[in-house]
Amino acid sequence: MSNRRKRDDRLSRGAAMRRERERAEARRNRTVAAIVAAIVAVIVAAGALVFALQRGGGGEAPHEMTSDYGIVYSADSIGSDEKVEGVKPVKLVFYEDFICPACKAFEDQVGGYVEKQVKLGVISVEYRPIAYLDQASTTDYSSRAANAAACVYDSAGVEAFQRFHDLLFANQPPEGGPGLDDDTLIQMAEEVGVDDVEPCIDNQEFEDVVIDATDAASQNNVVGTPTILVAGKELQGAEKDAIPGLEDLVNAVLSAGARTPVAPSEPGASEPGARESPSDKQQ
Amino acid sequence: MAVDVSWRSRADVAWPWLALVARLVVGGVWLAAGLSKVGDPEASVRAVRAYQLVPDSLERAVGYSLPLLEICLGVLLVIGLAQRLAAIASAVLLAAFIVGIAAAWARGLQIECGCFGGGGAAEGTDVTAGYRWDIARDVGLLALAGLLAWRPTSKFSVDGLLYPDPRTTREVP
Repeated sequence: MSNRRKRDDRLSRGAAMRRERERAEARRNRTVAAIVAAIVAVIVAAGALVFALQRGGGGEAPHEMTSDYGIVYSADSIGSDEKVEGVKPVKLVFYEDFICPACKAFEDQVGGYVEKQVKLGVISVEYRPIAYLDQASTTDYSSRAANAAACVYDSAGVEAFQRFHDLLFANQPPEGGPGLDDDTLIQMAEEVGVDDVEPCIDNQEFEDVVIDATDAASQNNVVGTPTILVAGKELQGAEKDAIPGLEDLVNAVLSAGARTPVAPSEPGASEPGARESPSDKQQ
Repeated sequence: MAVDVSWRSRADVAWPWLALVARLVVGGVWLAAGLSKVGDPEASVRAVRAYQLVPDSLERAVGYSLPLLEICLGVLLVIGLAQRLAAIASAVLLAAFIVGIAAAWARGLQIECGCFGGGGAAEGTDVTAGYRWDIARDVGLLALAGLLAWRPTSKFSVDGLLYPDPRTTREVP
């Protein structure tokens, strides 16, 4: 009898301890859930704040920018006197980021060819400066440079923009650093004869336009820079994984049906395809 | 009777330390990945878009929330709170990343993973080697997350403070 009673006592004590343990565990679980919820809430709130401060877009683009935030460099838009009549230019689109080394490499190769063929009216180029690589500088140089280019275009038109664009690539800062500062950009604008863009560059007046342009490019399946379209078709490098170069561009322009004009300065260059050999790099 | 220092009991002693290392490695990678992306969420959206896996309407939501999710998981793992939950969520996310990278590879997309910022086109680099390395890294992390999810008892964890290990606090009979 007494043994049995002892056992009952032990059992009920055990059950009480078990209940106590379960209650303690439930308390701890609630504590964990509360701390996790607090941490997640803080991180999400901080993130939302960061995002809210950044997200822009919706600004007004410089007039005559295309609906895809492009700037058209063509014989017509620059009023070229070398334009050959009756030639319909092959349309090119250059998506470029001013800090992208591959864009500079591409521009270094094709710049001379592009300038010459645009003046003749063989091609037209729609530049779409975008800012994919803001993380490649410590000061969002991609965005600032694209904004400055829009400022120059807005103030002085396509020829000034084109020279400024070339100057930006010629003076491209290395990735990983601060990029060129605003004063340098303002000086470079002055070098191409534009001296009224200081407030526009300082205040990043076209910041929202750059954001929209960048987003539009991404939505057009542009995954990197440079992305070059020739008559609507993306230009690929001849070799796998390689950046397209001058030879690739010339071939694509010719196969897009470029009508090679008889250039006044080049009487012998009348045969299509023979006009522009890839080794013939002009600067 | 001799004290039985069996393999099992040695493993019991070593495990919390191994789990600590696993926790810090996986959590550290999440923090690095999340923090590198959170400053430029639009770049994160572009990286998501480049995979061509997420419907257009969700690209922005995924691109913005992914860095925050990574930071949350990173913090939980590094401090060792709700370890099993964090480890399971990590494993699910890593598995999704592996599937995404493999899908991009299989479809011949020439993109970078965008795991630590950036993303989009892979230029002038060996794309195949990039995919291979990304998948190998994520498989390794997935294995660590799996171990943690299986036995989330680790040293120096907040969980450990809240739930004292019965093995070390139990009275010796």
